[in-house]
Amino acid sequence: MDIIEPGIPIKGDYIQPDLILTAHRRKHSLLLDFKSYHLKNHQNERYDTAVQNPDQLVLRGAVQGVSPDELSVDFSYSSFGDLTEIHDLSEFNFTTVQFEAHVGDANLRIEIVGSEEFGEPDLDDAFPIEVPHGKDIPTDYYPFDAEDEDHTQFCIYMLNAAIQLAGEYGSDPFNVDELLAESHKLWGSMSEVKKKELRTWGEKFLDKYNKKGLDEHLRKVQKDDKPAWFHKSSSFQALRNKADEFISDLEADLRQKKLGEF
Amino acid sequence: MPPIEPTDRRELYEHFQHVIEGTYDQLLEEQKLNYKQNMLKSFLVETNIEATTLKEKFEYVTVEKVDYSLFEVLIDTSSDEDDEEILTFYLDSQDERFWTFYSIEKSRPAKDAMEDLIMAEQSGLDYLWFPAQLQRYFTTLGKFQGAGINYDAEDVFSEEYIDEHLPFGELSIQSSGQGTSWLLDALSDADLKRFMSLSSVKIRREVEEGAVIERIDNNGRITTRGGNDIQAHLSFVETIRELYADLIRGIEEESRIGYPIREIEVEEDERHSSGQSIEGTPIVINLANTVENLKEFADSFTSATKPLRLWGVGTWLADDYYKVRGTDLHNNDSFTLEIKRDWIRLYLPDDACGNTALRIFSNIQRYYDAEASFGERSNPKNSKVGLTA
Repeated sequence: MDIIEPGIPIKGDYIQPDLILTAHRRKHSLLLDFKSYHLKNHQNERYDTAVQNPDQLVLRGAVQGVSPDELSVDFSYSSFGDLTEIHDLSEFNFTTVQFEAHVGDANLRIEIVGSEEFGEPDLDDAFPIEVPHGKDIPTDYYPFDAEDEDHTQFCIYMLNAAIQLAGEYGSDPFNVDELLAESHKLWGSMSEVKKKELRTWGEKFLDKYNKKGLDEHLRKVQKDDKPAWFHKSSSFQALRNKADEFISDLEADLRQKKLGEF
Repeated sequence: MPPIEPTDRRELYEHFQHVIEGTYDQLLEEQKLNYKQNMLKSFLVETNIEATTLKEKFEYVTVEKVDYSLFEVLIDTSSDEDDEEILTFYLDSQDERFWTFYSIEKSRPAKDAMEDLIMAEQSGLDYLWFPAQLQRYFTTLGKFQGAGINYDAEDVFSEEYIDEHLPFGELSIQSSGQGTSWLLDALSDADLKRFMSLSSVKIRREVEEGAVIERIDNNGRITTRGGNDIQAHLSFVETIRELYADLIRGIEEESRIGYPIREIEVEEDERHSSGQSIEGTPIVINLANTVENLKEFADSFTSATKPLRLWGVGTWLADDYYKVRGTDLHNNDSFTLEIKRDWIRLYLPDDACGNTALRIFSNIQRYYDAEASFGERSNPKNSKVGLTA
């Protein structure tokens, strides 16, 4: 994995792919932008500029360990839906890959859609990629997103972060941003929009956490006119049982209503 | 015999030399020890604190400097139910990461005092956790003389879990003498091998001028059962420490997940932080003993109790895929476990202590699956001992 969400100016334009994967042996990078269904035309043009000027990725520091003269680049949109049904990308020389969960014997299938191919032939040969059942994909590199289905994981990571910060800070209060930075190692690189959403989740989590009786472990206070928390002593075994109940209740709640109502 | 209150290393080692020789002669002649004639025990301990902070962390501990990085540590055990006693240890903290506590106190009180110290909340101390592969390697460092096998599922799993999923709650075998190798080979051929976790090995180690007989327990305790050369014991402790340190270094270099911030040049002379990369892979532990109940298995290992002291909360990712996010209460590090029936993925952050990995791995071997092994890609390189099957 080379880099996540880098912001790179190339020839006066600015691109921010979600992911850059670099095969150093091949001196080849793959820029990926994950999309639901919305594409903006200017993005196509900008990514096309990036593909035509691969040296810029090295010169700007987004790709390391490859000489600027030797790097080649592919770009691809990536989606759980079929973007080619909605958008005509034929003007540009890049393709799309589609993810599909639980297909036949595969736990996850990733395949190229549309007629375009990658510039690097070996990359084409790698598709379709099938992750078989039993080899389930790792989930901890990116532990949660601001999506409703990730909310249980969000709360579990926040619970553990609360225990860690309580141990680290002693009687000094910590705020929700510090909890989020501890919970998600990519917090510092997230967009402000996503940060705001997760911060709202975090405030709600802490209020609900206290209402469920976990306030024996953390106490709410004010710090710089904002809510913060500090550690109160509590048996870790007792806390574990309460945390299990908390998560179980949360999962039951989520089955009944969307997060917005949480 | 030299004074019991040494003023430097040489005096301390001279004292230990006499203890070893006396023990050795006594064992040979009478096959037993006199009262107060205890064996020399060395406890290797992993740490991330300063030796002098012990007395601040533990009000029942006194620390006095003896020599360069050598301290006398007095532990008041008078709050215990049995004898009111102050136990004396000598702490060599020359290696900042791995300390050695020496003691000639009675075995049980010394062991209990060390456990109280190490297992205390936020102690900053941890045992060394020898995986079975490392224990087996120790038998090659001298003439193999004996072994102990301890399988203690009762310490970790509930009675119901053991009844439903495991053939034993407890299994203990002690063997010494020439038949030990034969016994281990015979048992290894049986189905029993999945529950045969080495708890100790005993070897005779000869050096140019003399010899020592050492018993190495799987948590870093080395007991000199006899011999005539303290230097042989000291060099053996060093050898064990280096083997373990190599394993830890390998894990920390290759098996932690980091998220370094990447700097991107925006203008010619201006750099900004933008974007993060991901480096490292999780450790994969392969299980020979398939897990029948993923949730109960995971909950048992992360219930915040001794010996693991891991806290965690789990969720199902799929019908047969369970995930626990947890905190190591020894050092406050986070960890994640993903568990399937026949493997476990362990994620450690890039600032985590590699000891957490070996604590989880060696305890899985001891309490659940003696044949558990690291996956090929998780095997620490540049270590003399591999952890794969």
